Amino acid sequence: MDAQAAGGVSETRPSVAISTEQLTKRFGNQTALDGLTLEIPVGEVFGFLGPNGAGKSTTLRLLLGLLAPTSGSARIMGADVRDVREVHRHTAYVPGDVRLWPKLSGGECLELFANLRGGVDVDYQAALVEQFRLDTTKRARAYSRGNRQKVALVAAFAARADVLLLDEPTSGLDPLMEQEFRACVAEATARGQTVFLSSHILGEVEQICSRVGILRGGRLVEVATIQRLRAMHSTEIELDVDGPIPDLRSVAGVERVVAIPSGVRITLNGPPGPVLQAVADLAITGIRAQEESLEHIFLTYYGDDARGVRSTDVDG
Amino acid sequence: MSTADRGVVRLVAREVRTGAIVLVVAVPAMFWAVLASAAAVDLVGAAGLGTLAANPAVRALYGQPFDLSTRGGFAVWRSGEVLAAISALWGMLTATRILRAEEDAGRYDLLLAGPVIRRRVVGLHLMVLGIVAVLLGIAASTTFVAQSQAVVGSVLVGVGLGLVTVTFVAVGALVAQLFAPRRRAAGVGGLVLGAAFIVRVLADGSEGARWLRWLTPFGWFEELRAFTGDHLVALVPLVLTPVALLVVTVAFERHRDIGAGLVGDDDVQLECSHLLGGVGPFAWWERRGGVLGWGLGLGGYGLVIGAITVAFTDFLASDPAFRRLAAQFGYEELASAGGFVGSMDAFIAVVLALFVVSSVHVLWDDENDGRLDLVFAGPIGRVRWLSAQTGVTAVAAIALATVTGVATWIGLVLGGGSLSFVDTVLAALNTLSVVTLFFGLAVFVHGVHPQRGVAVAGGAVLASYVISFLGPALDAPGWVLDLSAFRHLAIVPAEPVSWVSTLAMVAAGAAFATGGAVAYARRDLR
Repeated sequence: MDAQAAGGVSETRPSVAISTEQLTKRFGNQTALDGLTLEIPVGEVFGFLGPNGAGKSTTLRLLLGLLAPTSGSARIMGADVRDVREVHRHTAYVPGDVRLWPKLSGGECLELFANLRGGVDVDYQAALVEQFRLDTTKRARAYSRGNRQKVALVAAFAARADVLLLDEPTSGLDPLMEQEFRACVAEATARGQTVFLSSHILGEVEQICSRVGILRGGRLVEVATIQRLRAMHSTEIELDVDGPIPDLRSVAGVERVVAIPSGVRITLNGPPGPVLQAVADLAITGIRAQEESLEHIFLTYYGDDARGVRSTDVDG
Repeated sequence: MSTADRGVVRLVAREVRTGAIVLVVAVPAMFWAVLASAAAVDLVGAAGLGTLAANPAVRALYGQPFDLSTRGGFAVWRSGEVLAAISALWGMLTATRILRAEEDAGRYDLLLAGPVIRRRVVGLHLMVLGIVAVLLGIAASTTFVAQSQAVVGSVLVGVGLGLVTVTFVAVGALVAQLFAPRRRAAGVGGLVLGAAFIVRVLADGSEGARWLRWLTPFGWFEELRAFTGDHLVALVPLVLTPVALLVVTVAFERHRDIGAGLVGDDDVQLECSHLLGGVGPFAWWERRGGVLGWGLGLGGYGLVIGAITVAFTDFLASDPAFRRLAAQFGYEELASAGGFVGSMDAFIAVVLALFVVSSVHVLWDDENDGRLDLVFAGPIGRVRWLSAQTGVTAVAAIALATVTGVATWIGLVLGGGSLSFVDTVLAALNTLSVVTLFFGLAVFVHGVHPQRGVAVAGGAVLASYVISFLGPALDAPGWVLDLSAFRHLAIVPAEPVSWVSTLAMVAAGAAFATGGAVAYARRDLR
């Protein structure tokens, strides 16, 4: 399918969908975003994580030109975000808290947004309404938060925009609708659309994002693929052993060795090959391996100390 | 009172604080200014009173003059009804705001989730407004006493003013139970208030239907006859009505869901409105109900003014003493039909200015509620959105002025007047120059500091009006009078249109609007 035809009239398609250069936003003397430099290639699903108040929504609103940067710059599909008319032909947005005109029905909201955009993929929109089981005849005032979110999601996906900016888009959806959402994101990326997703739901991030950035206190503290994030962290291996165990502490990648009643617990940071070779000749009766959970990895970033392990003040 | 109760009270007090302070200071200050100015006016003796009281137009505008030989009696007659209406409007709007808008926004749920039951929450809200009304009454009474007026009369003015305010607080509380969202509740409340005022005007303006006065709180306030007989019987309806309204409010409150009114329309809407096709039609969709309401009010005002023109001007033409009195209150031209219509149209300018301010406020309302994020995430520029919204507002303002002019002319014809159709409509359209000035100011404030949009632009309108209304009576120096934009309106059709000031005000408005648009395009969206 040709994403370019649906997305707009860009003559030469850039390879970078979103780029920011030292993007900074201060509100009074409070720095909401501090020197964000980021590049997201076309077609990527980028997960944007961070604790509440880290600056995720501020970033999205800067990218949309709803806020003016204090310093730095940002480009979407090659155009400066200050050029709203050009940039917004390429973007669609789902805010974290969708607000609609209470008197308009869901269908009327969709109609309005479609008209303001100058046309959407009508068939796809109808399919999306089915897919998300949205009752478009109800007025917005009668919608729950999840239903308002569905209206914005349908409008955003039906726009077939090159870049989808989604601010915690599933926080009000039920698990079934979350699944539909993931299917829509998959379809969008298959069409070559780029997705910038701020989220708290780690399972969702793990499933659909190819890369994640972690924001903390307005600063970007990490950008990596999920695999690399995992690799940067440790794995625990427990071995049940009959007989004596040699000293494994000097083996490459081993961080810690603790004796347990049935054998030994090895904390490993790096590939498991060397340590497996070192224990190959032992009488091993059982083996259990546990990767540090993704949740635990993120919590290390969310806590008071960027790389520490304190992580008590994280919202669930 | 429990800790939770005190928490609710403190919250409500914070919500209404600013408006309450302005009301409690400004209304007594107006009384004070009229009392002070009355010292300079030749007070009307018994003979003059007869002619004044016999004139239906005078009675319709200000109420029945019972006895104007004291400054207190004069001040209550001259400004009591208007100030009572302003206080009532504040009470009604504030009640719908704290009871309905808070609920619309979902914040009420948080309160109700606490240990205080619903009826008590409503009661505590109304209690705070009741306290404001009491303070208002005390401040008004103190003003009269401080100006050495009779104590009984002074107390009656304060009690009456407070009770009229409480009555319309109760009206606001009741419509907040009946209708959702806030705009609809406030609209119905406004109709009730307008009708109550009109009934008083009709009762006083007619010869045979003065008993109608007993049907409206403004009539009861008049019947208190402070300083001129101190008619305590009028206190009975003034006390019973709010009590009855509050009982009904509490009864209704139990029978409805939070977030909905008792009178609800369907949550299902099958057909799409055809006004969603673009920014212009949508701007109209957002305003059509409001424009209709303002149109009804202005049309009614025009009709009344037109209908009483002949009676009023005949009366002034025959009595030089009252002509002098009118001149001291800034109405030098009242003795001719053109002068009367032109002078009364200055009030249309005030109303239209408030209309454009409220219409610009819709922009902030949408932004503040987060609805514009979705709009501006699409390929719609802010200047385009602003142009459509202000364009529709401008067209509506012109239409409203025209409607008022036509209604005035119809009233004139009914009342036997002879002013031409063109002159009458031109008189109404002439007000648009000053409206443009305030329109520009509203757009400017929306561009640079939107949170204060209504306060600054609306405040400028009211301050301008107060200067034009009280300045001459207080012998204010010329430069103070010149500060009021309304003083720069020529009294069309008695005077020719003043093109210099018209162009100056339109140019200033356009400059303000341009600056506002530039700032709006650059500033952070909330």
